Amino acid sequence: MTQTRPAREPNPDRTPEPPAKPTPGDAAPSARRTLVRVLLVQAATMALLWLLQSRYHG
Amino acid sequence: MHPLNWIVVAGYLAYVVVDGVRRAKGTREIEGYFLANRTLPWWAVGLSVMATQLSAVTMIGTTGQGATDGLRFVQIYFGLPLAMVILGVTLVPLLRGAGVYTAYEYLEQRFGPATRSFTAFLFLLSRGAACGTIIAAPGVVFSAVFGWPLEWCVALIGVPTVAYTMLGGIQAVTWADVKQMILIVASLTAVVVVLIAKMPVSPDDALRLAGAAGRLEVFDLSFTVTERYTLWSGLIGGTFLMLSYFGTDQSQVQRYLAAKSVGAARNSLLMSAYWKIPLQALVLLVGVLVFVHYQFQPQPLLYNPDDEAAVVEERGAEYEALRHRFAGALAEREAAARMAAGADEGSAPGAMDEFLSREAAVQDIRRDALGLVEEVTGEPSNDVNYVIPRFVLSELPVGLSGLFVAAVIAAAMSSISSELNSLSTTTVVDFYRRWFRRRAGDAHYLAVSRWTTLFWGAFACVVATFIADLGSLIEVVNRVGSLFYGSILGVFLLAMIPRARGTGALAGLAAGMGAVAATAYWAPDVAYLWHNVIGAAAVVGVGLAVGVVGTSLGRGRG
Repeated sequence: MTQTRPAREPNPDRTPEPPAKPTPGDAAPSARRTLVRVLLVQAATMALLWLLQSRYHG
Repeated sequence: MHPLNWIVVAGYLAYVVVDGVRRAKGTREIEGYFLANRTLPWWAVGLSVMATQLSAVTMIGTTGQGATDGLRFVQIYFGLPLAMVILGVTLVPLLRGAGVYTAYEYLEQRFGPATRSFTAFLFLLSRGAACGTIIAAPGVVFSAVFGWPLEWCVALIGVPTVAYTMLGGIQAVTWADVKQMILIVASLTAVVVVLIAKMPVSPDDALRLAGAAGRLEVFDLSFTVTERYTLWSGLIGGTFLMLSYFGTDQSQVQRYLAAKSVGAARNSLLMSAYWKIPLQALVLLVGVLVFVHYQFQPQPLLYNPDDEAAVVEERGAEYEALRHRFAGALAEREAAARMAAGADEGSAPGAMDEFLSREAAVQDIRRDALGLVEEVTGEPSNDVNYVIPRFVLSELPVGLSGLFVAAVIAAAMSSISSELNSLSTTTVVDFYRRWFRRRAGDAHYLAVSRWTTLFWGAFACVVATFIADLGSLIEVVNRVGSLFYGSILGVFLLAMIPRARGTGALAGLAAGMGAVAATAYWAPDVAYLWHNVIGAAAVVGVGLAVGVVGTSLGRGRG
């Protein structure tokens, strides 16, 4: 069966509010954990690059 | 190139096309063609995201940059991990929740059709032209190195890519990206291993030589907006650039819209957050090791064979004299490099100073040769783009050269296929279905999508053929593209602010592009990474102000 998506009517005046905050209640700590993990890995990568630069600096 | 290398390249090309056609069999409706029915696993999408960003320019130009300028370019990616986390909790769930095919479709839900069409048009304009440059860049290099007509090189890359993208849609694009990404990383790693194995000095001594010549300097802590790559431009401007590229550019958004869930989409972006900086460092490291390799092997005075032929033809005597001086300088530099590498603690500083002065003498002669090229051709030389291709073809073992050439083609294909797929999606969803044919069966939209992919593929190939002759037009295309990037991000930021209105978004978009254009004109020294910050800030500021004024006027009338 083929389906077509319902067409939306153009309405320049329509300015709906953005959807409700996308993360559910328990998503905030998870996002924070992810942020911390990513930043830790980035800090470790940058520290390695810093070591490389300072050890072999001309 | 050795026949075995060509067999490797031909085998890769045949496999990609056959696999792409095989994937086409499961695609019978538009959601499957554009979004794989939102069923793709996070790791495949993650590899596709990385493969889309890594083009042939990275394999040829960035590795060359590593050889001539060292690791500092990696700073541009320092904002990427933070940008990925921000997108994972903001735009990804927003776009997935809106059930859209394109990022611009969401803007209609928020601001109306004018904002959607305008941003979609900007995407088609910048990406359509950019797609041509992505094919042109390796095409020009292959043409010079193999001595083939440019049209053949463009066809070698363009035709198979268009074929599998047109037939298989995003399924073919994503699964080809996965294999291409594996091929790219494998070939880069193999080249690093071979370079280290062939090095006549220990890896530690090799890094000491590279470090002394400034090739291992990563961090520039100076806070000057005119310096192209600094820690701050990378962390701040880079974050805005990555937010814009991964959050609002359909060629990337479409990757994670095809993931099987919000979590899968988020994880696919986190793969780049963890691996992009190490991967980019690996790419640059290849160049750094090639630099060290040429301390002990005779290097060409000019890497671009076309430039060399042009100079020999018009200024043969001068070039011959330079070559003679260059051979002497290389011999002295090699002796100094061996002394510096083998020096004990007491004699090391003096030996390293001697090496650096010999290296400076070599670079002086290279500069003279590049100046000669500019005088003869009338254009600045882009010799840096030929460092790696010349190295790969003359120094790597048989088989590995073919693998690297296949990896360069794979890098080009993985970017072009995603671009074509997203250009087709935007054309069909944001224009054809939105303004011309609102109700039709999937079979009709699928046929139109395939023809649109073919159109954009042919357009990109034609642009690639002509853009190569126009030289600086590539730079113009990049500059025009950079006018839009921060501004489009600004519109999406505005969409997340409840008080923002459609008229404010359009006014902000115009103001953002104007602000970036004004900066580029009146303050041309400001590094382009800052343009993204300026554009986004102008859109949000003006967009909010217009929204507030509009609301006040509306209340006054009421």
